[in-house]
Amino acid sequence: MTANQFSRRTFLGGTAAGAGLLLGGSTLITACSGSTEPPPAAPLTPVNFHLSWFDSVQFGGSYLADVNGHYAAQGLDVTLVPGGPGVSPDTSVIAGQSIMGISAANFAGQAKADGAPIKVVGVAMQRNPFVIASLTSNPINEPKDLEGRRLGMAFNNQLDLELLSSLNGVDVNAIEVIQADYDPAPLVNGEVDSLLCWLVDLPVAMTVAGIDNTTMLFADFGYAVHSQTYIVTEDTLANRRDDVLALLRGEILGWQDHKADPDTSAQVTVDRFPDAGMDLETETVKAHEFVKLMFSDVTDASGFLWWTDQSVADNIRVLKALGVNVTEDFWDRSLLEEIYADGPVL
Amino acid sequence: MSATAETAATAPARPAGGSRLDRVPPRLLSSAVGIAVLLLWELLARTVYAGSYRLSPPTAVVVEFFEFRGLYLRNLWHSTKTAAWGFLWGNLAAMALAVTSTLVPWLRRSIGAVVLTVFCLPFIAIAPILRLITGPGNATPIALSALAVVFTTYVAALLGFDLAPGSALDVVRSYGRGRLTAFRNVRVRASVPALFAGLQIAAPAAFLGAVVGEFTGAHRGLGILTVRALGALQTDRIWVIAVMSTIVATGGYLAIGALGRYLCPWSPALDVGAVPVPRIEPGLLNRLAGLLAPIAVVFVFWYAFLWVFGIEPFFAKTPVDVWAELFSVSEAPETRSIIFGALGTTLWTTSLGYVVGLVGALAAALVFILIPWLERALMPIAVALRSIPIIVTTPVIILFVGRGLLTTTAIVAVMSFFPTLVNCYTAMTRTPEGILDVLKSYDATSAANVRNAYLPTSVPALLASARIAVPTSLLGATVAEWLATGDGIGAVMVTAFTRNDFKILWVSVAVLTIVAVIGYWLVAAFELRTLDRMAPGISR
Repeated sequence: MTANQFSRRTFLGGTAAGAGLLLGGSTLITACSGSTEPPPAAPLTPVNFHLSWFDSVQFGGSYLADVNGHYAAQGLDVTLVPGGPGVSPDTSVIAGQSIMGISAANFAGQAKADGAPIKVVGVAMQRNPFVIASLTSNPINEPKDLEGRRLGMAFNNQLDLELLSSLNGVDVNAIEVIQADYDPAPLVNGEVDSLLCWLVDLPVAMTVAGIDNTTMLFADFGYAVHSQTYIVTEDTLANRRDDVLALLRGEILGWQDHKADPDTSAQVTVDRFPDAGMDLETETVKAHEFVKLMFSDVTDASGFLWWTDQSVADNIRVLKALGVNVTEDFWDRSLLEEIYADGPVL
Repeated sequence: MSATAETAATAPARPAGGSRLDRVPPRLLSSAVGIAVLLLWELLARTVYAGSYRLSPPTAVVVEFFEFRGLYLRNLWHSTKTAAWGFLWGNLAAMALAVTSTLVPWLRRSIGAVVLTVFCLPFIAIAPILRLITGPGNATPIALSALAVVFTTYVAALLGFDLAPGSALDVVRSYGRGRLTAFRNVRVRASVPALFAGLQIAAPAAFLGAVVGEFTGAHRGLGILTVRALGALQTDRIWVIAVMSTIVATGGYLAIGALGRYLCPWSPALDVGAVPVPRIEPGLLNRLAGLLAPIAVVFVFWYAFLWVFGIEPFFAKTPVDVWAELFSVSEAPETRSIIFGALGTTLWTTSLGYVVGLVGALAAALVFILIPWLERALMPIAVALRSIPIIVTTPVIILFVGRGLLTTTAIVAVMSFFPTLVNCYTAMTRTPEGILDVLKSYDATSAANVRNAYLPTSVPALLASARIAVPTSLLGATVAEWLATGDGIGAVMVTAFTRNDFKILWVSVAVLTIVAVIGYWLVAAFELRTLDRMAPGISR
């Protein structure tokens, strides 16, 4: 991106925002940030942080960082931008609308391989949250069990299924795939025998509804793709490194709070979004599950968001099998090394 | 009040005599049908579908609504507000363009081409691109909602302006007054019925745009609440949202219809004696210019769009890039096989649903015109079904037909059925009294009435609906492929943008748009030929 292009984009971006304002009247901007701390002397720097899904306790640490004033203490006024099925956070980051975004190594890696100048600066999920969920009365305990069974999944997970199959010597053609998305009802109704989903999503809903279910974690069967990865552009790293460091520090402090008290995190999430109709019990279960996915021996030793060189090597190998070619320089750990210079806890 | 007005306006078109049920007050009849439907629904939900997480009984829906009424009303208010903004801006733009097209005929083809192309752009693929331009906030849902209504309102307004009675235009002309006077004094008034029929169709379209817009990131709204409820096995919640959307959309539909009748109580009959306006100047050069200019305009808009919004090369693909991706780069054969393979699936399921929807709609409109009590009993239900946003209908359709290719067909059929039914039925009720009087004096049978009066008068409306249904069917198909089946070009596009593969995304958008435009023009050409033969008086 040349400087000239950048200034034109910024200028026109402003024009577009004006047009949008005209279009949307007073309803346009629904910023969700708002610190409870008294503002410090220096004005806060406004930044957008693009989340990967709708508002949920999946981002509980970020809400705590906001509510507990960690962002403000770092000099930032953070707007947490919600994601959804029709948007990719990578896009927002690459276009410069968000300083940082939450993606996964496979999606961001594809963008990187296609020439987008982005880097991973943090990995929140040490273990990939993909699972095969099944009813305990008809369980899928290992990939081989999928053969001859019906699997409900979103069609854009086809490559992930193929990879899991090839890693474990499963004949992918022997699995009958049926489109099913964001919905455990097909499994509960017996239309499918299993679902490809997130550990902290449909299985939790079934558990809360009193339906016994079994989950088989992809990460336990060689699928080593980093998930809930924090990405920024190389341009941001070069020119706004301090803002990225500040945002990461705020995130880490927020997630340390979440780990210490997941119940409060769930409560804060439910209270923060009264229009989402979230169920406190469900969010509480999820809050605890996320702790298991996000904290491990690695984070205990080196800090939240940390990753090992070994996991990078595993990711490169697995991503290559997914048709995504990236190298070690896709990951940049220098910011975390700076943040954790004095130890793994802030 | 509105019921009386409707009866007064449409009574002459109905055949005399008929069933004793005709004398039953319409309200009583609709209520009886409504209660029967509710009872059947409750029974099915409590027996066949009990514990299935698919169908909630009406009583449970009511209980759920009142328990969480604040939550539902806030989300409903949010989505409705978004849709209302989109409805307002989209329709204003459409009317401005229709007025320009009518007053400046040489711009008509170019404006038409751009508006059509915008409408043929697949919603689900342009949502993320719009998000790229507008950034976070409510602008993307509003813009999508506006884009969803521009074309249908544009076409309806144009149709309305063109339906101006030739005799009245002749009067203006004989006084030596120009186009502007004719427009102000004749065309604007004449356009009201068609325009309001178009606005009625625009209401649910605006809602769909708003909801798809929410999928690109929002804190609240019915679309988000639906996805959350699906994931959390909250079946009652899905049904509350469906019922609420239906009530609001039907209310909007009825309100717009009442406003149309209030503004235009005289409902002018079609004047079959109007002088046709030449559509294109004769001569090879003019013909060539008439064809090439709109295409050139579309390409100019494509480049202008990329340049004005300064979209970075990673996202922005030009026509040249798309061509290269399809025909010259080394992966081109693979790309072609992915895109055209998926397109084949989409076209097959879509055209099946399209034909079923149109034929069914025409048949239903005839049944309604011949059996008025049935119309009064069922039309409110038909209207309600027509107004439910497809996002909410999809889970219900899955309930009945599963998640196969048939799901896409069913959704496309539903999407084209209801607007066509409304248009054809409206046209039939405007059958000139003179024709019916003649038929009556010959003691004509119902079949003769259909053949000689109702079918011919509904042809322009049927063809106009068939034309508009081409892009809406493809829109419905791609949404269905995204949400329900995971097949076809809809799935290719969603996979492309979740994987940040903007090359495949733009190629899919370009190919699908071209297919929709070609389909539209094929139907339009057929329409022109048919109208020339059957109803030469109707100028376009």
